[in-house]
Amino acid sequence: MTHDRRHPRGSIRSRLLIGFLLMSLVTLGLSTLLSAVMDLRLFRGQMIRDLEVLAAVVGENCVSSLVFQSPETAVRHLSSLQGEYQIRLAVLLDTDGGTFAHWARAPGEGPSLGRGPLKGWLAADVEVSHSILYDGRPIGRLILRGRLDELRRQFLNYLGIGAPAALATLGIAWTLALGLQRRIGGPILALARRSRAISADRDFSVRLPDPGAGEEITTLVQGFNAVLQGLAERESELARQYRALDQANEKLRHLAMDLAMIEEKEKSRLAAELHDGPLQQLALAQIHIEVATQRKHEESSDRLQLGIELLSGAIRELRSLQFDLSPPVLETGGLPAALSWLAESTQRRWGLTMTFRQVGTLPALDRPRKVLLFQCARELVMNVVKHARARVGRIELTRRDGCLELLVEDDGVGFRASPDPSDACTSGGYGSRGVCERLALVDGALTLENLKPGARVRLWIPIGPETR
Amino acid sequence: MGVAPRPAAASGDDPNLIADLKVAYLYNFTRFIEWPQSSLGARFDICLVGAPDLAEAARALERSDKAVEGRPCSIRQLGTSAVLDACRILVIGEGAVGQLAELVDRSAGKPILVVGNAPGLAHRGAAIGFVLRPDILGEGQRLRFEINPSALQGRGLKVSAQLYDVAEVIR
Repeated sequence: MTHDRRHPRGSIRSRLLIGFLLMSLVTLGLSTLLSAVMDLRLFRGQMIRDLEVLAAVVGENCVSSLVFQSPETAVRHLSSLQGEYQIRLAVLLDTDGGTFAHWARAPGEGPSLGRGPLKGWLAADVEVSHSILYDGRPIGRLILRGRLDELRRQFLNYLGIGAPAALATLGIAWTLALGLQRRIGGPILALARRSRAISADRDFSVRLPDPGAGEEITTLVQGFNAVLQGLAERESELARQYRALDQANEKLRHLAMDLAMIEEKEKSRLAAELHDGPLQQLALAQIHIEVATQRKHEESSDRLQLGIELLSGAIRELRSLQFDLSPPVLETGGLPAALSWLAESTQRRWGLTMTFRQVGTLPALDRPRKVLLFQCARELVMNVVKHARARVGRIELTRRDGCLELLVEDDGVGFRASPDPSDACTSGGYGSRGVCERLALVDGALTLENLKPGARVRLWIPIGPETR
Repeated sequence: MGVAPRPAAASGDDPNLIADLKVAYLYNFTRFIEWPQSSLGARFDICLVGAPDLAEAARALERSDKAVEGRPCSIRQLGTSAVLDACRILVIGEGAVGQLAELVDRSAGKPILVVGNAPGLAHRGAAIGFVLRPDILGEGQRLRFEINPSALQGRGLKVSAQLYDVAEVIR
């Protein structure tokens, strides 16, 4: 199982951290903004109120100037605003709206008015107007134009305070977020680690304890444990099915072995029938013909003699066939005797020098293994006869390390291609596949090797307790 | 910095206009001078002595709804020997310049504001004296007034600083 360690959206830890920081920054930013807006608004209102009070005071002082038509005095009063640094222009209007007197801080600045109220939060100028009453009637109006530099300065102050505060908050939020991240993300990360370990070890019997880190984590752990439970059950079911499959395979092997036995029994029965049936009859016919040749005409005796010879040949062939199918010596004399007969029979029938040797004491084999080993030996010897073009061959049977080893060797042309000793069942050819399949029934093995000249085939079968 | 030209009412070329302006000033003085409450009767008497040129304008004031401390203005034309006790403002015109000193003496110690309706009277004992000054633009004359603080002493009158502001104060 592979784990994708690339996290396109970041790990849960980094996401938690970024989330905390963003939340803190947004909260801080909004609160600072609201605070600044409120404070600037109050500050602006206070500045405008100050201007209005100033206008009221100066306007009141200008009453006598208006009443007694003394613009010089009015100018003197307006000039007193020189000390108020934020005032740029003061204009005293009479009842007709004409300019009665004016004062400006900047030389050359005329009494042009009507700029209106503050434009925007940080507008530079503001105008306030104060109506001057005398005997309950308006006799004039004083207009002051002021600068709101202070407002800008205040705004810059906010920036100066807000930026370090934001940095400090960021640091504190970072520290807090790290702590919270460990507390919240810890159980999830532990869960992820356990998940990887369980996945690697394939140990589904493990159950995670409840970390007690909140309802969601508990639900997650319970869900994880439920998945593990499901996996364990599936694993158990799988193991059970494997066992059933092994048992089925074992049965199949037994069935195959039984089939081989049935085949051998059938051959034995066939051989017996050949012996008891046609061969007996042919032998009897031979006897009758022999008698006839002694009693009939000389003329027919040649033909009868020929018939006798043919009958003798057929009898020999049938007998040989009977032995091939199931040599009686395997039942009567055991495997070494049968292999000895095989060597001798091969030499007699095919003109090949073939010997058999037994090394050491052999265990008592059950019939299936005995038959199987003989069938394998006969197959291998027939391979030598058919393909090896050999002059000499030998068969050897040895008990070795809990196994029984059968060796068939010749001095022929060997295998065409160098066989793979580890995969003889597919690389050997010449009937070795059939031998392999038979050996597989009893957990046996086979190796092939070229001797230059010649070839050697070596096979083993385990000696089971029941065979001893 | 500068002063805009004043309307025609400020110029001193038209005698009627000047008279109206002077009477208006008289009334305006009451807004910047405080008389003792005990001295105020049912009416606020403005007495004219030797100032017939202000009579018509003064009558107009009397007919108007203007009041001092809630008291209607009353205009009285008096002779130089008349009793002055009820007068709260005593205007001495050209016709009584010769009796100025006597009138000042007779009103001394009383809450009477003596106003001189002729040039230089503030220098001669009147508390306030009307004067005509040339307009700074040279387009006519403007009515101004002088205040003589020493002439106000001992009369129980409280004069607002604003009045001093617009007046020519005699030191």
